[in-house]
Amino acid sequence: MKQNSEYLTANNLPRNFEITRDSIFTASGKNIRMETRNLTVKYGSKIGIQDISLPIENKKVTALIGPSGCGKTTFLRALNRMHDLTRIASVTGEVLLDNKNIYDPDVNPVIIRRKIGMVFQKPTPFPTMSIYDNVVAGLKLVGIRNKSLLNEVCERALTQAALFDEVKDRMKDPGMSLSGGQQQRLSIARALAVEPEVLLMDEPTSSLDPQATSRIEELIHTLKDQVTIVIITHNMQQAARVSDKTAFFYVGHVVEMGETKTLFTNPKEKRTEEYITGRFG
Amino acid sequence: MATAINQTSTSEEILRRPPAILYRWLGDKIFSTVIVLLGSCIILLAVGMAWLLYTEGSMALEEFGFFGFLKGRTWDPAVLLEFGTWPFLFGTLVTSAAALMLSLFPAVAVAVFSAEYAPRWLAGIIDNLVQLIAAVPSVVIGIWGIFVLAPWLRDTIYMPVYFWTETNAPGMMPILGNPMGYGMTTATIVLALMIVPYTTALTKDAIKSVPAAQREAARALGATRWEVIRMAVLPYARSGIMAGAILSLGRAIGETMAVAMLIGNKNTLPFSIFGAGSTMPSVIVNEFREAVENLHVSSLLAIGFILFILALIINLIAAFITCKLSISGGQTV
Amino acid sequence: MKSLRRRNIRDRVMEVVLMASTILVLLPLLIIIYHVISNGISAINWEFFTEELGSPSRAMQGRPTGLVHTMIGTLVVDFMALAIAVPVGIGAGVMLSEYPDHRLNPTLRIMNDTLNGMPAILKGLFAFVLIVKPMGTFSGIAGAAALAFVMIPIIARTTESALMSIPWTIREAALAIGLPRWRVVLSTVMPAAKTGLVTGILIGFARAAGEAAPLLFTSFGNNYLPNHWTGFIFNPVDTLPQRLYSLAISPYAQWHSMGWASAIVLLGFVILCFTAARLASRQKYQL
Repeated sequence: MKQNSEYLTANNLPRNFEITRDSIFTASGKNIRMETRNLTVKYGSKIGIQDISLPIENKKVTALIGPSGCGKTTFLRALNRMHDLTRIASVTGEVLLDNKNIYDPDVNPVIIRRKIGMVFQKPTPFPTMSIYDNVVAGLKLVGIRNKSLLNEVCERALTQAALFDEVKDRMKDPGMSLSGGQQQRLSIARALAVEPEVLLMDEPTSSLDPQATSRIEELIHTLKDQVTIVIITHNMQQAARVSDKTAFFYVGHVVEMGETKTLFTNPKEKRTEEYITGRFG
Repeated sequence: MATAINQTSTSEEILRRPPAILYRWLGDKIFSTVIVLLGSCIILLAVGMAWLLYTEGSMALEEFGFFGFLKGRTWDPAVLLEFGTWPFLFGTLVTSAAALMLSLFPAVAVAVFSAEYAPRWLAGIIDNLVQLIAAVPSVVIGIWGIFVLAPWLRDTIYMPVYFWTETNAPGMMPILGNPMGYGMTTATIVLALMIVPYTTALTKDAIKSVPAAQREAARALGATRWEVIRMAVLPYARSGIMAGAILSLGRAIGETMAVAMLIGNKNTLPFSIFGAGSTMPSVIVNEFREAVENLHVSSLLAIGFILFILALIINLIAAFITCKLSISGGQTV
Repeated sequence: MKSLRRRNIRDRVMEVVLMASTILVLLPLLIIIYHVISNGISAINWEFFTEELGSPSRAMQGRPTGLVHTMIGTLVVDFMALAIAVPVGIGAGVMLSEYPDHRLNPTLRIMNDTLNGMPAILKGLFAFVLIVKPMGTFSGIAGAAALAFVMIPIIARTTESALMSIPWTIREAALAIGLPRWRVVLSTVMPAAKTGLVTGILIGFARAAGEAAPLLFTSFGNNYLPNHWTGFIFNPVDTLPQRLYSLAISPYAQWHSMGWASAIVLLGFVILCFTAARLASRQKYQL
């Protein structure tokens, strides 16, 4: 079958795309870092996501795709208890991190969020802080005052986020003075500074130009050796380029989940196929 | 020593260590408790104000009955010790309503002019000056009224009208009253000036929230500037104007010093157009410091309680309108 | 359909009417400022700021008299009021904006608006019943409390809207790096809203500084300097708006001109706060 080259096929997937046979459906497997069980989020009586059970593999990139309003963001925010902020959102089911439900009453969301970092659609540097203060905010503001440690962490995080060389001479400038792409990498550096084990990214490139986007994508590639990444993207090429696993969301449910390559080349569900070939969404 | 401990632990360990208890949950507990306590202060203040005014005024309210006190026409702290608040309620309602009517058109006109006609720099100046009117202390307007406005009004308006009426319509004389300059009309004029900023501010906000498309649509039909305002802007801004007017009314009934200095302070009905009168705040200002009899003090506090209720009703109406107005304005969910 | 010419004339006429109304509203303000300055300037001299008022005979006999005790009293009372009002107002504003889900929040919003809409004179009566009556004497602290009741709801409102203007994503980003909520508010949201907070405080201060009604039954007034500085707190204190009122309704011509002079000082002070608030932020806050 001849396909328009704009669509993803096995041929235009990245060469180094590694295929590992599914271990992910064996939920007890050792490389499962996080897992949701029957996760349901409701806003009042409106259902955001329903009954989602999804494993997230250690040190892999999991992409969440699907049309707008299908619950990807709702799902992502449930993974580090961001819904705690608004009382109208109610979360039921379990989110396991290393087999511990993060919604258990004895779990402190502050500690959970240190382990599970998050990067948002739009860059969010703290308005009044310098670049340096932005990066170390997560440490400095919880009482770590050790100067040399903060410097060390700042340099490490900025290097990881591939921003260090650009800003090393102007650490005291306001974070807002950076360009959009730099601001987003600053946000990533800030998230990395607290050494999270999982990094959630909600369309991190949606407000960036193509060049900045490719830098972020490179970044994701290098980061996955160190952290587990869950990324939402609207761009299916991006999902194919950066992710190992992909889950397709549709109206609050996960329609299909699997190896990225398998899902894009040989989707099991008709809806998935329609979405990835651009017939809707 | 702390540094010694730091040296033995690697940076890795410091990062892995869970944050101090203050940063885990204790800080949040303390912070939210403090914030809620401070917030509760306001609730306590508002409730306490109503409650204390009521209990302190209850002596008078029990003596004359709530409605008896409200309707009583005699206010005699010297001989009879009989207290009724009707003259002051009447004075307050009449001056406030008249001031509102007097100020409504100019206030809306200022908003429309500054939003639609004036160039940007001029609009900025107008807005600031209008807001400055609200910032001028009431006593400053009062002293100006006593020494400048009231004599001027007496000489240029009240006296000619008075003499004209005397020769042409002597029957009107009692309604017109004594044109000494300090009285209901002077107070009303000053009140009208003082409440303009509130109507103007809310009207301007409402005008600004009219979508550009609405305006452009009318423009595209070939409407003149005034027609655009008539067709597209004013209907849209109607509830803003209403809310502003009611807020102004609330300010007018509570306005104290300027009114007390200019209204002439007469405690007995009937009031006349130019003649002296009294309002609820003005009688409190004039008599509270000198009140000796417990019943007198209690009656003044009871007036305060009634003023509270009046202000509350007006504010609730204004809140209701603004709430309906900005339901789509949207705060966080 | 009306002819284009008539419609255009109508347009011009309305423009003139609106402009005239604007002038009608703004003219009195300028006249007031003019009269205050021209009448008061002659009574402003060195003694005005260095002598105490004393009895009326002092002014009538031409002995030096002034309002130094009033100036000091005003500053003491106003700043005590500020010290009471800022924590409560900011705290309530933080509660309104940062804890939107709190049970008490809707009540707080209604009560704050209620308090804001209450005539200042009622706040004076309230402070009288609450503080003057139990203490058994008029006092500076009672006056400060009454003025604080004027400031609090204004500061709470402006604080709320200043904090609300900071995007919600900033808070989420701060939470996502594992900051506890109090740190999020104190170290990321409030610094970002700093100018708004300052503006609110200035506006509340300017409004309260001009109020006389709440002070008449609380700090009462005093013609003399206290013997000891604590007199500014625990005894009757003179304040500018209340003194202005007393001077204006007094029967002495000398006191009238001193009244005009204090009007200059008071108006100048309030306009200063007002301008500072405007400059501090370009954002528009209602008075």
